[in-house]
Amino acid sequence: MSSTLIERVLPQKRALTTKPRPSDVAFRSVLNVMSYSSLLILAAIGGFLAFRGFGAFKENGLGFITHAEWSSLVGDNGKEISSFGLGAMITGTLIISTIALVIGVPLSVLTALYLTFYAPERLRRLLVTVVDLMASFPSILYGIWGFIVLSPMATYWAKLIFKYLGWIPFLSVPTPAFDRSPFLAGIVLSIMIIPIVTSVSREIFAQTPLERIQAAYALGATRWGMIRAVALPFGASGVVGGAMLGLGRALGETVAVYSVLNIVFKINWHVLYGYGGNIASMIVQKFGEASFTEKKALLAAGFVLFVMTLLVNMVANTVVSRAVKSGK
Amino acid sequence: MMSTENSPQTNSLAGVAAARVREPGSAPLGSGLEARGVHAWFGSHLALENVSLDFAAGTVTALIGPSGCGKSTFIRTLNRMHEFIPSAAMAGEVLLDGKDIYASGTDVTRIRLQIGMVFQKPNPFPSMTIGENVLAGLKLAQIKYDGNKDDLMEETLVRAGLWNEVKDRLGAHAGGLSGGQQQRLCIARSLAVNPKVLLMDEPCSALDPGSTLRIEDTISQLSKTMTIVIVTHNMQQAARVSDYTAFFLADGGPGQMIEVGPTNEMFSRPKDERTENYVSGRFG
Ligand SMILES: Nc1ncnc2c1ncn2[C@@H]1O[C@H](COP(=O)(O)OP(=O)(O)OP(=O)(O)O)[C@@H](O)[C@H]1O
Ligand SMILES: [Mg+2]
Repeated sequence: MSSTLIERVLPQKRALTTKPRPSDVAFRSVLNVMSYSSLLILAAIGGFLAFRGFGAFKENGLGFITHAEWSSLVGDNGKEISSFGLGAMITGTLIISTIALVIGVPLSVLTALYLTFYAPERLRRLLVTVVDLMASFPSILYGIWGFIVLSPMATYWAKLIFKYLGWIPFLSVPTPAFDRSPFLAGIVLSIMIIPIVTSVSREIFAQTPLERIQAAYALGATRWGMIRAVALPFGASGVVGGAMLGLGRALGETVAVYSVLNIVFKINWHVLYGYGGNIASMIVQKFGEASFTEKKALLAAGFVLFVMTLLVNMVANTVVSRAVKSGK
Repeated sequence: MMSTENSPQTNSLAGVAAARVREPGSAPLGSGLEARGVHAWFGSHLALENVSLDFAAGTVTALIGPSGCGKSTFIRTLNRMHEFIPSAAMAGEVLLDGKDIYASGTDVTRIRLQIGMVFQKPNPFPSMTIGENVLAGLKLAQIKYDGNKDDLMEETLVRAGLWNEVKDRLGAHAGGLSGGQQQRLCIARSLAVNPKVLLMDEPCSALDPGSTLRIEDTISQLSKTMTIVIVTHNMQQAARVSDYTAFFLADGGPGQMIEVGPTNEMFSRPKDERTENYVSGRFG
């Protein structure tokens, strides 16, 4: 009753200020500009792609994403008849990236486990340097290597896989043409994502709480038993995050894919069969000779890739930072 | 050096200890453990010098001494956990059933199955349920267990004094237990692989008095069937649970074992003045 009648008089909240030093102000504004500028550049690229590609979205509608045909002809009347659908390239991108993950992630996780729990100190340091070096190789080198060295081997493996597992629909081929297949591109990509996935996994495994590791060993655990019971459950979310960072790289890879894959604008579910494509390599292939309308469509394709990569990277970063923080 | 006058504190501790003196040989035989001339290093730093101690089958031995005197280091040499620290080294012998556990060709995982360990901080596996935690040892050591696993789970939880509190939620995650319950779960987890010896490094130091008493109860129960070594900073606890007490001290140099004896004697008539000073609370 009474509480409603009494007027509480509370003092004005005070502003908590400090007089910053000039050096501090200067440094902070430099940092501000730098951090905002990267955001700005990102937004500018996205905006530019969306703006320039807008026409293509408007003309093709949803078909721009679902249709698999990409053609631009100049008709008899001199008018351009075009139909742009990214369907084949989007599926191609996903297929190649999936192959890259399926091959690359287990290899990376095993490498990370070896580096964290098995390798002697000096060997570990050497291998970590090598893996980090792998990350900084230009992708054209991977492309050339893939084309010259890996391609014959991959063709041979593909034949083997087809021979024994060909009854699985997506491992079959219509005709025995195994060259320059999504399978090959996937292997090249898998090697390119190994450094990032390995280093993220390694960092997370290295944070496995010592007390849990000791608890396992004190129970008579074998090393593999300890890894299964302690390190893998602890590192799982970090590995997922690392895999997604790898996926981010795989989605956008251009030159390496362009050098090994036979780029054809048709959806190809037969991963061992010799044609396919991904968005990034398609843009490279077409951009030089594209007409004005096609250029717009290519920029729109760039926008789609931009959004896909951005999403994957954002999710990946959240997963990784949460894994690191929660320490679960 | 015989003690002349005792502080009231030590007298009462001796009383507590005397009240639980057991007839020699009253404990059914578990397995004896014997440390002979144990030294331990961290890199070039000698942390422990020449410790020889017998842990007779079926007894509880308390290791006491000021912080940094090498109690943990010593207890970790007893089940070869010491060597997990990079650059750690040891010398001497540790005999289980008369066999040196450091002998070349020894399967370390087998040793750790026979000599279990409970740590200072409760450390259940958070990704496993309570039940899975209890049986984790079987899986970790890749043991094929022939008997009924549910019975084993119940039996070990009963022995660890936790069964009544968790029997309705064996499928719940272990992280949801209180600290004291988690520690008893860790004890149950060690018991499930049926060790002959249980090493406990300050198992109650992170716990409230109530949980501490429950764990001391558990220790008393367990001591009927196994050999127990417990590190503690709590004199009362040493007096309550142990048959023998060993006093460690690092006087500027490496840690050494100063004196060992029946617990009531250690608290009533310690032979060494330094022991006397420590148990009467004059330092440490
Ligand atoms: N991981 C390590 N690396 C280097 N030195 C260590 C390590 N662990 C312990 N030491 C050293 O070994 C000596 C004995 O340490 P220990 O942990 O055994 O003492 P403690 O008696 O268990 O002490 P507390 O009662 O505080 O647990 C100390 O001087 C310590 O600094
Ligand atoms: Mg200690």
